[in-house]
Amino acid sequence: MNDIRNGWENIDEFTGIPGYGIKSIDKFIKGRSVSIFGKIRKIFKIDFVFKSFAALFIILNLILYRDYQNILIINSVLLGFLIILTIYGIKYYNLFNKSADPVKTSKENLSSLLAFLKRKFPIAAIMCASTYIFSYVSGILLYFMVAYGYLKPFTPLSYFVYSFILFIGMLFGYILNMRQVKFHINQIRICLSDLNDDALAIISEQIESKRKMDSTIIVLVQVAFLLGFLVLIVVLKSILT
Amino acid sequence: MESRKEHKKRFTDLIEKNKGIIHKISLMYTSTIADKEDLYQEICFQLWRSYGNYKEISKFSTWLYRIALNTAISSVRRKKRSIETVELDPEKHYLLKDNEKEDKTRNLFRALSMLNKIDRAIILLWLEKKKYDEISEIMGLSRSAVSVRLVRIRNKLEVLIKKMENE
Repeated sequence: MNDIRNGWENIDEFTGIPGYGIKSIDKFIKGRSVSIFGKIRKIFKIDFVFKSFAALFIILNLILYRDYQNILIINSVLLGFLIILTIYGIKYYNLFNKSADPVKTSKENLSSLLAFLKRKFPIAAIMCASTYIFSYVSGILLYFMVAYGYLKPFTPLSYFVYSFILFIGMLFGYILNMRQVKFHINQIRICLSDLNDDALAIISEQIESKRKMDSTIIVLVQVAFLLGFLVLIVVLKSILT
Repeated sequence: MESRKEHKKRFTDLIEKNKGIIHKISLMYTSTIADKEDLYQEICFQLWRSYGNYKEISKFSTWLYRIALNTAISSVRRKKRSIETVELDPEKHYLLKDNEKEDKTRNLFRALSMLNKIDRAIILLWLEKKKYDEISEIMGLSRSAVSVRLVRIRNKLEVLIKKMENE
């Protein structure tokens, strides 16, 4: 046993003490996080940037399309939904920061992270993917006004192509975000089962007991977005053709 | 009231003072020099993020170990790199002159890298001469669980080291 401790005391001598001084530390803390937490925070931050662009496009559309009442209504509705989504986005971002706080004990840290990634992240990923609707639709409307000075009527083919791109964009965004955390969820599960035989079982039970409610929410959110998407397409079709 | 500059200075001084332990944790959870540097940087980054909320009610070392170990446990090795990676092979990085000491340390280092992430954290705290209460406070385990786990880990380490010595 003493051998192990003696060996440990020689580690510094064995590997060398790092040469990082005050300047390096200063550089490190100004840098960016490369961890999975940094990546998830980045997902939220990029989403906020896209939401800001969408809001800007919508506001410009409200000004440029002031003579088109139908478009004004669509843009106002889009802006309303965007504000609601942003509020929820901030709520989920704060929730994530709370879950990922490394000051907690390892057991609490891993448990709260697993609970967030399994229960809350799928909803956050849907919300992030739906931002695409707002930036895409408002971006197209803005493009028509800037490029042509009026609303160019859609042909059935262009109508299909635009809707397809919109749907694929949303789906791709959702899958990409979910894939980022899938591997990490497995890693946390392994660590929790290594930490304590009961830890994973307890947290899994807690997650499972709330999963029914979460599944209902996720399905409702997905149905709402799908319905919203279809209504939007129908309304746009009626305006633009 | 402390200015931002003073606050930052105090933090960098604290990190400079504790760089040895951050270095050891980074070393234990990575296998290449590039990954080790990434983890060292990540730990510094996470410590700085949390430093604003640090309340001196808890012991500084407990606070530091919690953040550093949680960051290390959650870290995932980079899969692809554009630059060439250098393996963190203890046989290539030794600085010791004493051959017997060198062998012991090399074997310990190799044995530690064979443990799972949680066991590595627990044994690291024990090797750093932390009391059972502090280990349980950092890991979130009961005192008795820490003591049982430590017996198991030490036995495992001894078996691994003996096996290496006989090789």
